[in-house]
Amino acid sequence: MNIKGIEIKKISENLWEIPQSGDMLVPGRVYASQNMFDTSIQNDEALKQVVNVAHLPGIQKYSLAMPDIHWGYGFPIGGVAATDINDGVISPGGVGYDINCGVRLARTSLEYSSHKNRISKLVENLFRNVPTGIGSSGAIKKLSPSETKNILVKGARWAIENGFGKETDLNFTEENGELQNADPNSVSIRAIERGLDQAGTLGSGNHFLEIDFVEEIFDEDAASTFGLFKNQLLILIHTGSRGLGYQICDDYLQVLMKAQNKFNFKLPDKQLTCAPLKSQEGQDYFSAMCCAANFAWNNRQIIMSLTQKTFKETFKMSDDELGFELVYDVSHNIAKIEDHEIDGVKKSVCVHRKGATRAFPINSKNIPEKYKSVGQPVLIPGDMGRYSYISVGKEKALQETFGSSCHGAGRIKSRHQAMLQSKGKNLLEELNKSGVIIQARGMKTIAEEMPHAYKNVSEVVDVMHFEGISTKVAKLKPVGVIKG
Amino acid sequence: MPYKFIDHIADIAVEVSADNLEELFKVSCTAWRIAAVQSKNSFSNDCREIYFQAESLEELLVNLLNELNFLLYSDLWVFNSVSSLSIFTDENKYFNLTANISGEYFSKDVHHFKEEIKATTYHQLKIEKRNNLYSTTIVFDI
Repeated sequence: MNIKGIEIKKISENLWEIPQSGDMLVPGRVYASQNMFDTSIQNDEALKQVVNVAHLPGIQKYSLAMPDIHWGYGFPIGGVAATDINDGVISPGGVGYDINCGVRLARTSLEYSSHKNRISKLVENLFRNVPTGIGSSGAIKKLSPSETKNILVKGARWAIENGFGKETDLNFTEENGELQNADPNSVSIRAIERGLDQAGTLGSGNHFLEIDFVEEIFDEDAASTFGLFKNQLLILIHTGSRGLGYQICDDYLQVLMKAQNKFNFKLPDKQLTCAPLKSQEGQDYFSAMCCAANFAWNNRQIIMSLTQKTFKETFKMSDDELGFELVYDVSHNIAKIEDHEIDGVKKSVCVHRKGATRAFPINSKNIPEKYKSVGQPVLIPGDMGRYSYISVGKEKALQETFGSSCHGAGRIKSRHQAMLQSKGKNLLEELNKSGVIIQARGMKTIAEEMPHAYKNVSEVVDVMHFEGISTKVAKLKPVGVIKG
Repeated sequence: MPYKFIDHIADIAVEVSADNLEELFKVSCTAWRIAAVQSKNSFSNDCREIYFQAESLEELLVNLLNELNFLLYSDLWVFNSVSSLSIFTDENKYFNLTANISGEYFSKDVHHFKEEIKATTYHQLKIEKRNNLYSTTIVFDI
């Protein structure tokens, strides 16, 4: 078929290819259902961005897009691209402004049906204890620049050293919550200043803290390995590197744009600006990105700890009774150096995942020992009214998508359209009717983030499931949400 | 209308236009302000001087708007208006901007955050002059 002048052919039920043409260095590949093409993909410029990404120097195999694909800056959201570390580039547009925006899942030993009547109080207490919204300060005092730099190096370990969680949490965090190439000297003073009082803050917009229960289990073996059972109360935290990360992205977009003449790249989109990974500029950006990633992991670690304390306070239980444990923490905006097999040869590549989640299979060395028998959890939040999912990474992900899967639902309506559709409605009542208790800084946020503004995440997850990239483990139903 | 907010699937987009470049930049600041903060009875009692240099007008505009961003989210200083702004090209063909801006410190009694703007992007940002009118589209990542 042809969409806005782009030829696209069907490879399998949910896999499509944009043939290599013009200055594209590789073909494009999009995971999506026909329905997704009919209802959303054809309505924006995301496919054009898949084509644009295929121009990146050193790109390997394909410019990829996951089924939550939609229009982004440079890369589409849902975009994945791997570049050779020796002669390829790194691109801030392939990571995004919110570096290491990601999701953390924690479990409890509590059953929803036994504690339904406490959810309202729990939401109220979480809203009080977890800093949300713009301008909210952290649960910890404003840090000094030198202490903030410590976080940039240590990541989630800083939080643990300061009483937020336990050492074993690091085992269940992607990269153990700490990327090694983080040098704070690559981060501007401006970025540090933006982060001084944002450690341990949720942020606003589509960031949230959600209380779910396990409504359905699809894979008993994986669910049991992850410590999940039906009716279980879980917590999902979605946030990233806050202002520090945004500033780093902005700083390096400028640095790399200024350096373009030196590299002489012919790129179809300014927001794909990039530098050879081996160049000083490329190394500096990668280092700064690692710093921001570590800041985000620290952030989610602190918020999880605050959540645990709030659970204890609300349910008046001990740690043993509560059984609060981290299941896993994934990033969905990041660039990582990974080894992948390409044309039968093992190669080190820089995998950009922008609105995409790592999905490593059984026996992968980079996943917790406890999970090696089943694979890595893939955490996929939906909108706040319907469902979120836990999937597990499969071997096919390594073969086809550089070990990547989808990350969420993706918007189908603008904030303005969402607000128009919400006009005159009692949103809190609507959410309550669907069993969700919400507290947010303002009704505007709730209106903008209503379920009707998002794709049905079930459809997104199903595409990955049926293609064998990541398969469903459990479906979660939200019952409480706090938003900034 | 010098600025018009347009629909965007995920972020905030605004079309701005003006008779001259300086006015275009001022209108862009106004549009940013409307997107970021709501306030009542605000007083611009604090003035700041700013200066930027860039290789393109688009980069200059992004620098200016991201400075307002930084002042708001780091210093909790709310931009209100531009009292003077000038743009000139130097002998190296770089674009230079000097401006005096006024504003005040954030107060919960007066100000209310609207959207958290991560940054002004380069998406669709192209300053053009047609029929004696300068215009561009600005997308704020939120």
